[in-house]
Amino acid sequence: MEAELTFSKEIGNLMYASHGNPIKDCLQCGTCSGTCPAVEFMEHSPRTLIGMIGADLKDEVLASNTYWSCASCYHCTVRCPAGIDIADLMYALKRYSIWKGKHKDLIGPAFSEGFVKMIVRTGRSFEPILAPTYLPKFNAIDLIREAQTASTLILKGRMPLLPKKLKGLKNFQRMVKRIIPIGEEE
Amino acid sequence: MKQYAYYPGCSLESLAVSYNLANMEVSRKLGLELSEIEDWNCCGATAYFPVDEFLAYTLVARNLAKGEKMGLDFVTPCSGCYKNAYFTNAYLQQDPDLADHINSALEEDNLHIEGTSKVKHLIEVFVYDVGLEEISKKITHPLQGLRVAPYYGCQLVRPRKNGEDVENPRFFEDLLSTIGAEPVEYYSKTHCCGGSLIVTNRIAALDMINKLLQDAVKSKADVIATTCPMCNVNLEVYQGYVNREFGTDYSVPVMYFTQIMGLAMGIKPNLLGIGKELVSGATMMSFAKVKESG
Repeated sequence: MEAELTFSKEIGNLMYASHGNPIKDCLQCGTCSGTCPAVEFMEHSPRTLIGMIGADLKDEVLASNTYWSCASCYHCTVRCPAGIDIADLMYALKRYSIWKGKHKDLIGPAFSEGFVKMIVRTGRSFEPILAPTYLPKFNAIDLIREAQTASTLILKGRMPLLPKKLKGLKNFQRMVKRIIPIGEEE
Repeated sequence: MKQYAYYPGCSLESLAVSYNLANMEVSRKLGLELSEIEDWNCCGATAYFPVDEFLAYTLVARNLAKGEKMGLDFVTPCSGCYKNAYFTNAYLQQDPDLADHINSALEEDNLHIEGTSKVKHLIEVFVYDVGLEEISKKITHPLQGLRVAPYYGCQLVRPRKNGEDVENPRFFEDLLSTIGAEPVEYYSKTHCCGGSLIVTNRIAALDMINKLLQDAVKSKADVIATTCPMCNVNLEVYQGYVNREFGTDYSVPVMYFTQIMGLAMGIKPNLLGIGKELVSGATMMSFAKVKESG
């Protein structure tokens, strides 16, 4: 009989291309937490979170806002003395939490999913299409400021009003469907 | 004239239009031809990886495959695009299974990738391919006395590539010295600007920007030079937000490194997109002895 799949293994399997060492190599030294520029805004420091993964505290890990507060700056990754790609681990946890439908209250998952949907539709990033996916989660004051900034940027010629679309969009979308085989042919 | 497959990235058609203008002007002066990759798609920045890892690599690989077809090195001025392109290329070269998976999708777009081209950031092309000596020959208006804070940000030097110095890189300082400016030494030069946290966790990002601005201003920088549209937007467009949030009064100009290089080469400011900033560059323009127009 197969040994039970630990949470740490599950997460490890979600880091396909990462060339770092396994999570279990963590020394609990705290270099990642001391380096992280967003640590003050995390419910658990990266070091604590990795300890929790090692202890199989799956529910607590998934409920933490830590990985959605990661800016993917890789400062922890390059400093980790155990050679763990911690930023990539945070990406793996983001994927796991989207898959499990966690953190519907946060902007991060909505932003990422909105971004991918936009790219699949047009091939290019375009702020006015992207914004409606996350703006509903902003409060009123932030919304007003966002609108003011956007209009200033339009006046400065820094925000075009028409989106760009790929010329070879059909082939592009067929390519995407090879990876994520969903959706109907248009 | 040395030619490159140029991948501008989405921002250079919107928030960072001035960066694109400056890149073209400065490259031309240096005898480089940036040939834009045809019908390129968004590289996904940091937003694809939280959804699907293979999709993220495949979307980056499509642009790389197009560059490979041109038989040229792949160059991008955006640090986010650079990190994605560099590592996608490296991973699929090292991992035949990943390459197979990606190529089976690229087939649908009649493309194929081997991972054989080199991926470079524009600043690397200038410093290493062109070389500081060649650049110095084109400097007609050295920016004497201008204190420039070289802001590397994160994705330009991280994760580590081939044993490079990720803690204290110096190539940006060397480039600034070459154009006659005075590189500012400051602690935060490779710290993160917050990236897309400016959307997803605004207060965390504003805190990170505040610390960066504080450090640059404390070190008496006249201007912060950036190599990435995301860094530029966070430090420049959101500077006013930081002032409101933390009661500060920063008004430090933030310019792309090619805009500053262009001034030292005597290129007119409007051709470098200068004037599109939300934080006025007026305080630093007195160092650039180039006429505004005519």
